[in-house]
Amino acid sequence: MVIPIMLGVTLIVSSILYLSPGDPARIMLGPNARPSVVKQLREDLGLDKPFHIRYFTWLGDILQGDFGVSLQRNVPVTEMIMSRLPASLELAFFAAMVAWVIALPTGIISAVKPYTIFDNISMFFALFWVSMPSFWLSIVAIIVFALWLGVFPISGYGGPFWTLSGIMHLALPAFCTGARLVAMLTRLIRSKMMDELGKDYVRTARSKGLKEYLVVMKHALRNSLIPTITVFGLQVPALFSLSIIIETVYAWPGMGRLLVDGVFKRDYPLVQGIVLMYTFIVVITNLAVDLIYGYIDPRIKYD
Amino acid sequence: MSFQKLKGLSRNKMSLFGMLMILIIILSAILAPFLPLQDPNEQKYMELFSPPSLDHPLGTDQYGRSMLSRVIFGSRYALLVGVAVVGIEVVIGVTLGLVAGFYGGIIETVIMRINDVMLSIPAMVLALAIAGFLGGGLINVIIAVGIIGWRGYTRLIRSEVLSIREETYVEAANATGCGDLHIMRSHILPNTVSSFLVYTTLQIPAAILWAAGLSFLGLGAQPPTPEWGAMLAEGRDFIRQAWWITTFPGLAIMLTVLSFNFVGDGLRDLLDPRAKSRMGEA
Repeated sequence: MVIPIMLGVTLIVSSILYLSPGDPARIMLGPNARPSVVKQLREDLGLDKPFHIRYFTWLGDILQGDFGVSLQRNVPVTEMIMSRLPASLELAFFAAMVAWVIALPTGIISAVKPYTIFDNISMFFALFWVSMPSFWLSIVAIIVFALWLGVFPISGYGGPFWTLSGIMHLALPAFCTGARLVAMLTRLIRSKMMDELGKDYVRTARSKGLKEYLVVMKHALRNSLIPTITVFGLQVPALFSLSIIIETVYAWPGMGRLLVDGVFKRDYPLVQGIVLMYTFIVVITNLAVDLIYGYIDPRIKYD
Repeated sequence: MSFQKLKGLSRNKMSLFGMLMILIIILSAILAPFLPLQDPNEQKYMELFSPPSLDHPLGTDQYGRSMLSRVIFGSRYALLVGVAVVGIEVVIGVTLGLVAGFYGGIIETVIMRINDVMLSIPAMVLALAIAGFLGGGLINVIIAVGIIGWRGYTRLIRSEVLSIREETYVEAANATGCGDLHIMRSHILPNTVSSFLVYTTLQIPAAILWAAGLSFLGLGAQPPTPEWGAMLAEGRDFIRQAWWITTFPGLAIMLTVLSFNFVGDGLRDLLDPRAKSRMGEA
């Protein structure tokens, strides 16, 4: 599935750019450039060619790892993306970690002790986070935790995550990116766990005298994780969507900011490259999710 | 939806709260010009950055504009965006889903593969690219969010149609010689209404969030339009001295989204209990 999807994406991306109004050559040279110069540049960039020729030339280059040259900065796009990729992956990875670390225990406890104060409070927060615009959440987090309490830095990148400064800078953006996912996973884990705990095999396990925590953690949890991981896999694109906004708010040096910048400056090759890169990450993550199924559920086998 | 069901919905406290809030939002959007408010774009240079007070219940911003008035006028843009975006999504998504589910075969394969491809691109990435290259502005943002949002409708309607297609009354209609269009319009489409309604109620707040996000990034409504996302972006530079400029538009977005979600959740429990697991993907 990876290859047809990626091919489809290249087609969609290049059609959007092809159909969109505005001339990159004109934008690069500014409004005062002479028409002859603009025309020359259009020819140099290959912008005067018909769609299919432009598409296949571009596709051929990509297959060789060449995403073209940024119109704005005259630097290879591959180089620009590669310099921003680690920060983006770091943010997304930690956002997902935050989500699981909070959602897993909260969901389990809520399911084991439903309709208690803990359950009610966590379910209220789950609804709350889902409706919270991430950009607003991140601003509120900056006001409270950075400006008023002074616990975390306001924004920026503090180095790799294994350093203290790195992890402190990462904390707020990772939480804000993951907050929605926390809410979704908590609700899902709770409802799936409650379903599973009511099933026959759980009663059997209990009746044979198995310790309660083993019943919950080994039997019920394992079966609830499969639908949860499915939803997680489907939410990965949304995670990256959110990270674009969060990167902008926190001045995080990732691909998201590069993309926003590229869109405003109509840097076509850059935007094409970044869209492809994001999609590639999503497709690969979904592949990884499929492999995790096999690990959690031995009934699923891959030939 | 019958009156009975509406009554059932109002018995759910959260849905009731949601419905009341939506009513208030709609009313304030309609009545905004008639309320005794300062013009949302009137600048008072003697009252820059005044914190919330009796004169200015939500404070004023960096140009001395009344935040209360701006937030209330903002509801117009939020509702406009929500309805317009969902309109685009419905036209594209429902049509494709209907056709894919009804005809099957190669048509279905092509539509669903395009859908798969669209689902693999993070929505914000695609919306940014589309809105950006169309040239920004509120209209282009609405188009962009509409183009990314139809995917869910197609999947939903297709899966509904697949099961409805097998019903006896569809077979009967077919046997009596009804045309495809007639069957789709009179026999299939009406039966997708309840899941359609649930999904739409949950899709409106999603559209509002996406559009506000794009405006926040600077692509959507341009200043001085009192659009919530754009207001947040403007206020971001002043969070040190004036927390209220970013707090209230954000609160407005959240309450709007929350209200629709409450109603959507209530509707789903009422109309389409099976849908609970399916909605996880939206």
